Amino acid sequence: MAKITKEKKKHIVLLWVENKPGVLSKIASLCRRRRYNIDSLTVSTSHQPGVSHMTIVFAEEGIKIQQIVNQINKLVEVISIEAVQPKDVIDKELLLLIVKNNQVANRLLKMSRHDVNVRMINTVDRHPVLEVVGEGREIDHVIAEVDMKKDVVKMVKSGLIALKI
Amino acid sequence: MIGADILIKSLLKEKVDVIFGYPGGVTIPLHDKLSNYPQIRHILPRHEQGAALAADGYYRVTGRPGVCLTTSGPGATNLITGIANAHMDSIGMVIITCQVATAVAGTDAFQEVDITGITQPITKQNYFVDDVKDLPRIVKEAFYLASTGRPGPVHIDLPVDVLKAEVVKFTYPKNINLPGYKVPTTAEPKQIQEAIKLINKSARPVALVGHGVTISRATAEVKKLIEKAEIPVITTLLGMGAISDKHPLHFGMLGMHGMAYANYAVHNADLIIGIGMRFDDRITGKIDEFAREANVIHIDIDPAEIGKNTIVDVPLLGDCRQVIAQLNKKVAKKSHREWVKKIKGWHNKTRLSKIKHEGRMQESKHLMTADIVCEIDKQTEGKATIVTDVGQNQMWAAQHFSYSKPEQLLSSGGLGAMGYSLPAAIGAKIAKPKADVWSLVGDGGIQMNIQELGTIMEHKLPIKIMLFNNGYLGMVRQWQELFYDKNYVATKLANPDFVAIAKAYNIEAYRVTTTTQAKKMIRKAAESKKPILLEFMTGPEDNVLPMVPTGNTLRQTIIKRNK
Ligand SMILES: Cc1ncc(C[n+]2csc(CCOP(=O)(O)OP(=O)(O)O)c2C)c(N)n1
Repeated sequence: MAKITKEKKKHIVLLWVENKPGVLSKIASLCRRRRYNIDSLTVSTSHQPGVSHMTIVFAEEGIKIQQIVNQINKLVEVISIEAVQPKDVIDKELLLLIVKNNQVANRLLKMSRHDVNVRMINTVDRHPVLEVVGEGREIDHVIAEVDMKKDVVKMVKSGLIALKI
Repeated sequence: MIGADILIKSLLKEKVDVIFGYPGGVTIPLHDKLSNYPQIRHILPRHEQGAALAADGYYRVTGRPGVCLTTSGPGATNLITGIANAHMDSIGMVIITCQVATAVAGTDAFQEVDITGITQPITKQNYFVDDVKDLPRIVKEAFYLASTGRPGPVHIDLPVDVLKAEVVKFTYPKNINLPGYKVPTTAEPKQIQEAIKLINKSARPVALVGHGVTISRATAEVKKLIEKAEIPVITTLLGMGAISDKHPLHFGMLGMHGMAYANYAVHNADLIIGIGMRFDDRITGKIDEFAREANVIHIDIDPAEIGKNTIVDVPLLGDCRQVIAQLNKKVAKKSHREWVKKIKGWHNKTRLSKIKHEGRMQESKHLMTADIVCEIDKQTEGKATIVTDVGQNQMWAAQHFSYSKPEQLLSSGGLGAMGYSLPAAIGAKIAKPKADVWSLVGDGGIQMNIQELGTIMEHKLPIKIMLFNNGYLGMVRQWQELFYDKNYVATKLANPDFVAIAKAYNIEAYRVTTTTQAKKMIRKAAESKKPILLEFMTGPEDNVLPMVPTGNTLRQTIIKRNK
């Protein structure tokens, strides 16, 4: 019997959890003590009263995703949990950017396509403010287009939300 | 009626008969009410760690969750080692800590600690009770979670104002609603088929029996399986006794200090059936080469254990007893005479009786713990309940006593917590007064909970305390000898007069230095109806063998040291 070889890819995990105090901290603390690196985590209420939905992304290479799923599933408040493939979900992320000037803004606005939506929503001290909504990988694509030092004043990102279809 | 009554009535609904508790400011309303309920016996340990470990001992011999109770702050933090131990070894336990009032919670009030924050990673579930109306439901859930599925400790933190809240009526819920909690029972038929195929075609199978077999009371089913398909059985430390040592297919314990023949069998097997065990690093040795030629069937109730440390060919998720019963219906009758003969050959060459004398000193000068354990085995006809501490004494106790019943060996397995023996023995004796409880402990470990002699004295608990005084923190010294050139840093003990200490607690005690004396005194202890302590002066530099040094494979088990 050989040691388990490790997988390489981005992992999206979807959870339905009881909306009880401490659930988020339990999941976060479990991931910390078992050394699972969280790339992003979002949580919100859902269509079911008392039940929240979470999307956790583990971007680390070489993790045992089934082991993570099994460990998290042991928490009593976790109703169900599933590791999903990108093709099985609709996923969205929101990116907010304050860019240096109109030139940068225009470059990014041109990137708008069917699955990525770049909009100018404001200006702050003459810096354009952009909102980008799109699939996780599209957002990554937009981020790759900008030079953080030269083009960007500030940037924040929402973390991925995903819905299984 | 107040919240405290609600708690006690809920505990009575759960058939609690003993609480291991220690009072403090915020428990007073609860302790006050306890005096109205003589059905519940309250045992005061002398340190809260003793309460948690006694609750552990209580669970191991009864299979019912042990209950401990402490005050907030330091009372609660003193429990931590016992809770962590329960979490590691799958011990059903309900821990109640009282807490400062909700009005001052979060303000660093006197004796306030965030105890649910602290216990969260070492409990199966924990609760902070905001409202007295939730209390019966929480108690019911706590006992259910503690005792079902993979058992574990459940913690309830109870603010003093909730304890004091006026309540008109007590109603205990009938049902439990935990949508996220699933208890696996039987395995999927398809997987059973796969497992059967592997078992039927295996030429060199080994069943590895762990604590899960004891917890799920699967002894009879496992016996049926191994007898029908002639499968040699090897146990983990906590699996000892789940299958009797005397069973002809039983070939000892595996692991770092397991029997060499057991390790060889595992190393050479072509099929490993892990039953209620978790492939811990202390039993696998170097994981990459563990059972390198074997397919693996893993039976466990905890899905997170399957595939955690090793690749599993056929996972059988479920309760050991039910899953083995499924297998028994389908497994073919088979004989593995050659394989069993081979293991017997290894057994004859590396039997423990041939290697227990690994003393560096002259044999006549010192007693040997292994000999004492054999003598206890002989004089109690193998019927004693053995509660070990941690270290060399633990390994010798595991190796040299012949266990024939589940949970006849109580030991801190996953955590390896020194100080376990005395309080766990107390818990076991209180839970089962008829059990013949022997506490086997080192001179280091006894001093970690020596205050519990007070509990033994108070309740006149006829526990037989066998103290092995080698003048060292023996197991650490052994590693220093073998791997650090005998650089004995921080392991030599300056010891007190243990006999005098025991006597100060009104416990009969003797120092034993010769074999003749040892035999006589062990007989005396076996016949004693009172607490008794024997201090054996053992070889300071005796080593526990066999041994698989960390990072080595089971094949590299050291049997005898080159001198
Ligand atoms: C609470 C705790 N502290 C430290 C250790 C590390 N440790 C493991 S075995 C051991 C030595 C135990 O010595 P002793 O109680 O005299 O028993 P012996 O090994 O000599 O039988 C130590 C210090 C431990 N397991 N538990």
